[in-house]
This record gives sequence, C-alpha cells and structure tokens, in this order.
Amino acid sequence: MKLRRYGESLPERGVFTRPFGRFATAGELASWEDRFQREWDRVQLTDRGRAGALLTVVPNLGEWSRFLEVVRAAWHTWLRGLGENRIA
Amino acid sequence: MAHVAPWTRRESHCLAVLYGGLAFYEYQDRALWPQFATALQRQPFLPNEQTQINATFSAAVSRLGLRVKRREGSADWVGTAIYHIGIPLSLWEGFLDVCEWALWQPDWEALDDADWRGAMSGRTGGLTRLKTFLCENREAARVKIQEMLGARKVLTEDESLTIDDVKQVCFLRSEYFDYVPETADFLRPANPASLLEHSPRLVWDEQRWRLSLHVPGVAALPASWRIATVLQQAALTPHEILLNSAAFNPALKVRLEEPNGAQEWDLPGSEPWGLFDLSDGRAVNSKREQLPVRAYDLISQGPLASVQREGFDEQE
Repeated sequence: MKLRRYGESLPERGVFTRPFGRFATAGELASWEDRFQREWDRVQLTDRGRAGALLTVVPNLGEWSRFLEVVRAAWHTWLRGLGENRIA
Repeated sequence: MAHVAPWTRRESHCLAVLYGGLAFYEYQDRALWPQFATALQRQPFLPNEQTQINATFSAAVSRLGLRVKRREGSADWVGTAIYHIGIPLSLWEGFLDVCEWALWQPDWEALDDADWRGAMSGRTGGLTRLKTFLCENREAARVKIQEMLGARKVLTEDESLTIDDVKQVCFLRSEYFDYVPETADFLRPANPASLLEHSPRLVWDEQRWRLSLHVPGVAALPASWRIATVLQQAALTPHEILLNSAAFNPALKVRLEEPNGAQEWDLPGSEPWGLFDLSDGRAVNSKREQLPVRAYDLISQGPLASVQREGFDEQE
C-alpha cells in the first residue's frame, strides 16, 4: 500500500487532508449542535441582531478544543458534501 | 434560496459557532482563513472552497436570525463573524485602552467617521490591527464600549457586586480576565482583586518563592480541584493549592468536581515564562506590548536566551 503525503492530490478522492486521526461520529456533532441550539434558544429574539449576540454560545477554551477535534474529524465528509450539493 | 447539504442544515449552529469561535479565539490581521485551516489542521482552503463554505455559513446564520454584514456591496464574512462575537480576545487589551479614553470623552459616540478614525489612530498608536478593527466595526465597538462603561459604573458604585451581577449589563467572558487581567483594573480600579476571587488564578509568592493557584470556596462538599497531576480537596473558604513546577505549562486546565457536576477553567500557564505583578502576585498578560510602571518578577523554569527591557529605567 502506498503511503500518502499530507496534502497530496488523490485522483480518485480529491485532496488527502487527513493522513491519520479519528472520524467523528454523527452523534458527536449532533450533540454539539443540540447544545449550541439550546444555548442559542436562550438568547432573546430581540438580542439576536446585536453585536456579540453569539458570544454566550461560544464554548470556553477547553471545550473549544474538544469541539474543534470533532469538527476536524467530520470536516472531510462535510466538505465533500458541499461539493456534491450546489449552493445557490 | 440556498440549497444546502442535509448534513449542513442539521449543523447550522455548529457552523455559526465555528466561525464565531475562530473570530473570538484566533482573529488576527483582518483574516480568518489561515486560522481556519490551522484549526482544522489542513492545507489552506482553495478560493472555491472558501466561497462554498461562506455560502453555507450565510445560510446557517440566516437560519439563526443573525446578521450578515456587507461592505461595498458584498458580504463581509470576517466582519460578520466578528460582529457576532463582539471583541476578539487578541484585541481586548487595546480595547480596554479605548474604553478608558471614552470615560473622559462624553461625546465619543457623536464623533463623525473622520473624527472617530482620528481618535482611534491617536488612541491605538502603533496597533494598526486594533485601529482597523475599531474603524471597520464601529457599531460593534460602540455597543461594547457602552456596556463596559455601564459595567464599570455599577461595579465601582457597589463593591459587593460581582461579574455575575452585571451579566444583564455586559457579558464578560472569563477569558477576558484570565488572559487580560487588566480587565479587572478597568472595571473596579480601586479593588480589582475583588472581581477575580470567584475563579481560580495563578499567583506568585515573592516572599516564599512559590507558585500557587488561589481557588475560591465552594458551596457543596465533598468536592475536589484537579490541575494536571495535582489533586486537592475543595473547601468552603478560599485557599491556595501549591503548584510550583506544575505551573510551567503553556496552559493550566483546572477542574472542579462537585457532587452535582464539574466546572473547568483554562488558564494561561508559565511556560516558557510567566510575568507577575509584585503588588498582588497575580499573573500579568505576558503578551502585553506595554506594561504600567510597577515592579514585576519574570519567572522561568530554565535560563532565558534573551531578556531585554526598554523604557523608563534605561532612559533615566
């Protein structure tokens, strides 16, 4: 089996962006989504247009790192999905 | 109407928070894409990828009822992400200086754009990044300055109040206090330490040459504090946990385990070095470009290759 370099183009699959790492389960991302949605729902409708309205939902630094891990693991699938679904 | 992948539609909040978190934690130099790629540990995004992701972000924020900012006829995505979170952490210290200026300028809100730009140039000095931010995001800056002045007024008038008590006036992230301790100086100049005693903080004891974590009392026992390999029972009253060499990490993850759950804090550590204000021993923001004239100790686990000072002493 040929080892692939980070960033190497793969004719059959686009760009190989994750040489190793883990895959996020749908449940992990959904769990973050549920949490953010719950927190966003607590922001008053009248406050949502204000500067800084989203800041209460951004997780603290430790949780942010964990969130990024999940996003990182799911990103390749997500980006491929973007290519397959035209956005107007 | 935007047609978005089902996966994306399901994760609208995640995408909005991803942009917002990058703007808050990573914003530098009017750009987010390099930090975006670094955070995801991947190659730089191609222009068509950026376009697609931005379009998906646009659909996501519309779904959440958030605004998309426009500039010169087109969407300003970096400006939008910043507007959603207010002031990025990297600009907070300079922003405090602007708040200080506004304290003494009753008509600061009424300045026209040219005067505002001139005032910001004068106030931010060589901090081009901050000046650009304040001029390009004037509305976001104005709202936050108003909030900060309001919070300072309330906290100064009643010293029994804490940050939690002013949440309705001004939302202040703990990172602002952890990474820019001058935040407390601005909000309660006469007694900044009183605003910090409700969360753990790293303190240098100059007399006994030791680094400790000062932790608040907890309401429900049994509970315990965990910092790296250090574990200590919590108490009803504030106390200190000796860290010494354990403090020499780039970041300190502090965890309080209580009967009904856990809380976590991420504090800046003292690796490769820490700077401490000798008036109260608390850690000083080591990324500050200028420091008030006070006495400081620079603490490092090993010799530092190059230590230079510029300023008052040398000019005498």
